[in-house]
Amino acid sequence: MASSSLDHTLTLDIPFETEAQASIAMRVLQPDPILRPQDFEVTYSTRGASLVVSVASVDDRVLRVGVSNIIDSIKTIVETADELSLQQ
Amino acid sequence: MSQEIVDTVTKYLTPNIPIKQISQGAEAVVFTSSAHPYLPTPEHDADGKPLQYIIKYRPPKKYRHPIIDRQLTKHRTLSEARLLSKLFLIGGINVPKLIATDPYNGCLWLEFLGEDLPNNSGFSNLKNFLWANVNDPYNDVVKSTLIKVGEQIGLLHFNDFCHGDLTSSNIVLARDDTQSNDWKVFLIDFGLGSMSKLVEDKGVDLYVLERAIISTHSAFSDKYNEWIIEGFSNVYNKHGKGGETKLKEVLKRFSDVRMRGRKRTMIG
Amino acid sequence: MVNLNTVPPRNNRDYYIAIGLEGSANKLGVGVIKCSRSAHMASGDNSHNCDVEILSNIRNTYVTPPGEGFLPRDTARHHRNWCVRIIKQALEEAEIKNPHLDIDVICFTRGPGMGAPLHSVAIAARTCSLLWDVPLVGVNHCVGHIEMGREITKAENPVVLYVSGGNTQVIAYSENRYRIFGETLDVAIGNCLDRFARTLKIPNAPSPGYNIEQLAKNCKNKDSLIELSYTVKGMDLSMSGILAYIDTLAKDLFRGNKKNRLLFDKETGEPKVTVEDLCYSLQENLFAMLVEITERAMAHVNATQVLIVGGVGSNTRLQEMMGQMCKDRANGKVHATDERFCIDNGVMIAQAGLLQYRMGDYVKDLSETVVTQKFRTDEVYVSWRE
Repeated sequence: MASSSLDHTLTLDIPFETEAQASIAMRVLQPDPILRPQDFEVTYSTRGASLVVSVASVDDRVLRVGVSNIIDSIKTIVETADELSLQQ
Repeated sequence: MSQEIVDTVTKYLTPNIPIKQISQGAEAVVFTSSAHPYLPTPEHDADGKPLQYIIKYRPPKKYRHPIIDRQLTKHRTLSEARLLSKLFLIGGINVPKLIATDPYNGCLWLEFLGEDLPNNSGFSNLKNFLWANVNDPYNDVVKSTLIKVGEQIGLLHFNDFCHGDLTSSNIVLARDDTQSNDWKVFLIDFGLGSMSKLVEDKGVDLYVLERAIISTHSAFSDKYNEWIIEGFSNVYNKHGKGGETKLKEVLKRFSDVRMRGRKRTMIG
Repeated sequence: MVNLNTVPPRNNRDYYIAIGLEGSANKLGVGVIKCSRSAHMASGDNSHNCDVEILSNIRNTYVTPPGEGFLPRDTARHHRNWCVRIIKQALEEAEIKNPHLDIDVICFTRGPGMGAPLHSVAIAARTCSLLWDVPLVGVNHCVGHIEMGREITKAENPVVLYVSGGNTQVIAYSENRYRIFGETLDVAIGNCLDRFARTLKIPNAPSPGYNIEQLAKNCKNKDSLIELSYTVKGMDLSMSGILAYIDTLAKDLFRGNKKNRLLFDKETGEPKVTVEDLCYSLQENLFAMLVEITERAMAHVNATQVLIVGGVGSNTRLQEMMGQMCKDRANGKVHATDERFCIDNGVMIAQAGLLQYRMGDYVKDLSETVVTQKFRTDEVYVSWRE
């Protein structure tokens, strides 16, 4: 019943350098539980070298806060991947 | 213990009083002595052996500011003496008999209680007793002793006194006069004690003991704490509806204090 | 019997290398340690004697302006901004060229602490773990302090006084857990000092507690004290009442409230006490309470050693008082570390995490890396001790 009312949606498509990096980003983000699952839902997937973040929420405020937090985490992941990946 | 403390206490008591140190607690050093402070001749037990007395001495603590130190020593010695003399008169409560006190010098003279447990298990306080029973932790004597512990605390609280530092080291077991296996339970060490009608103080008292049991006798603490509370409740339940209501209040606050402890956010 | 050598080091090395990431409060720390896999670690209880070599220990503190505390959101932003740079710096200083081959385990603080800052560092830890294919260990912050303190001071089985911004606990080891014998019933000692520093509007750098310590040292009238309540309850203590009271005194002093006879002379209206006097009295009173509950725990468990850990543990007056207490006890000895290890750092997380890793206890699924604000010291199963 919850998902029916989560009608504010947004999809982010974030390009990474490689498929492996996109997959790492997905695995890093997945474990953390959502504080109010009845108000906010998120699913992570990959398409090629892109991380796809699909978000659904009860209103635009909750959506904004939630997405902002996810983007903060993604920034850390991107920076870590850029700076600390193993040298080939 | 440092020689300095022994020297100070010997000087204070004079060499006429023989002393033997038996333990050093956090704030007091405990000695035994065969000397009585004001009886002309020493007392003897039924077998003709001279009776022993406890001298509890609170040495000045150099780590704390002299003003704090003087105040605490005087306050605690005096309040311990007052509490002991009041509690001694309440039927059913077992505390050591007070013989003499000198609050400014931090000295108390008390009746000696307890004995050495068999098999080198140490002095008969509750802690050593429970450790001595570790191979048969739930036997009948342990159970009945812990219920009696609960009853002592129940009586204390029911009469609006709080101990302030309940641990298994501050509960002493002495043989009943009869030849049975039963122990008589004594509460000692009332330095942090107070007269208090506040439910909060009683709740904290129970919480402090529960935690002491959990940390010192971890493996069996659930059952042990349950028996203590059983004994505690017995006292209140003997006093009809009024007692039951009071009991509910204390136990409710006890669990509130416990929740506060667990729920408090711990930030590194 | 404890065998700390069950998990062999990577790449056929005869030593372990661990990196630790800490960010539970306003300090962000990354440290790298090296630890030989010596034979004596294969049996017995040697976790306090690991021959640890510290390859790097970098810290960056989020400092707020005077009068302000650090908020979770802003602290998390600080950690995010600095995290990767600090990790890089720590690796360079430790001369780690290839983390995949050179690092055995990545240790990060799983709790307790502030949620958002913890999370920001955990994200970086997970990413590194996947990028480098190196296992992760989630560490209890308090256990980190204890293990680092034991290793540095070689204190085998001390009573631990853990004093920091969020914690005030008296801890002793028994049957595979660090058990809490006493703790604050309300606010933590560090929090108490931080909040008083905010009232005094003194700088938060290097730390509010350090600045209070300096003010207290400069107190001109150490013979007298401002009377504060002394609230020890067995092995527990309470500090919120004392804080509230001294806060009002400070505010009255600043406001020039002449009606307060404790602060101002009845005849001349001149102030009788200074900010330094307040700091001195507060420290003397609170620290006496801390030393007393520590001594009570020592008496209760028959211990002779004390180890002071946590940020407030670097206060020299507290160390001095603890030392004096120990001197009056048979074989009493106090152990303390300096600010490099007392104050939150990455090395301590690496130390505790590596012990855990060597016992085979590491993250098998990333769902185990979710951080937790509440994580009591006695929840951790201490498999590396007997």
